[in-house]
Amino acid sequence: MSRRNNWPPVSLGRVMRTVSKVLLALCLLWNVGALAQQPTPFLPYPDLTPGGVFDVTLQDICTPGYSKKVRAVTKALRDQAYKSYGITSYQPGEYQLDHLIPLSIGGSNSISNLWPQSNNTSPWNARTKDALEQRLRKLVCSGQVDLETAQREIATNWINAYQKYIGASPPVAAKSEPLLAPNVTTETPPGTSAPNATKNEVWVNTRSGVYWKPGSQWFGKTKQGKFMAESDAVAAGYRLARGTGY
Amino acid sequence: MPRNQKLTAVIKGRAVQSTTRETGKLVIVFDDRSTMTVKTAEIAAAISPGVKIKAVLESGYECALEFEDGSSITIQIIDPGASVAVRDRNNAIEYLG
Repeated sequence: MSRRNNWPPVSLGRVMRTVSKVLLALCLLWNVGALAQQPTPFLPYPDLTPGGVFDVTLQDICTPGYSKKVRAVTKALRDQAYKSYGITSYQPGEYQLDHLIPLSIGGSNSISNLWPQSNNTSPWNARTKDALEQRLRKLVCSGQVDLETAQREIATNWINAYQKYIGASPPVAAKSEPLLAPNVTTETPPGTSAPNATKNEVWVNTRSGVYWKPGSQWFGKTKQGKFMAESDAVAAGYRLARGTGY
Repeated sequence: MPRNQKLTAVIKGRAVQSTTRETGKLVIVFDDRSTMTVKTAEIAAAISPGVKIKAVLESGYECALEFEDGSSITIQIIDPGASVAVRDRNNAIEYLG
């Protein structure tokens, strides 16, 4: 009686095919996981977050304390917003649940107006959008920009709106660049007043993200920078440079 | 259904003076002349005048008003987070959500 050779119990080819399938599945899972943990884009997806507004007037939104009164996002809405962007887990401070059309100019708490905006992306992130929101509210409440226009522009493309109402690019404080080391092109005596500055204006270093007051060492002296009102500089996210004596 | 603490704090104790059902919305006028407007997907049930608000519960597309007399109504809202507005007698905003 002949004995059937049962060794190996499974052919080598079959083992290899199985291993290949497992590896492929692992790769797919890894990719899906990686995609899910990608930072959110600079702009929200228009189909998910087209923007939404409350039925409010200019007088409503320009009343002090308005935004606080109307801020009401339930946990269910928050969870839904993160889930719709494929974010299942995140670190504290990694994202900000952003109102695309900010509450301060009539945006609503609807899911159509909520998206998880990264705090870590550069140069466009939640911090830069906050600066735009402050600027737009100021312009709307002072009558310089129509409310509906502001709502439409920030909902359509908030980066374009930033460039229109604040500047071409946000201040970026590069990690490798000390904030107290501006790019100086000319050596001038400290405290020399800059010729183009007007009263109450500060000099912002648009590269490092800090600003200098009149009379300080680098006022009007850095390679990249511009003059602007101090309140506008603060609203745009610039910080007073350390060591200025103020 | 969880309680909407913020809205409950605003309208708790107010007595319903009248209600108006219009296309797509329910308007409740309280005895202090404040108004609550709810964008609703369907015609809401009638509310007896005089009942006082005890609490507001909200979950997804459902918003329930509980009254001190033990009764309650449930309203289907159109857009969670953007369907309820409460304004005071001077038309100033007290709540939006």
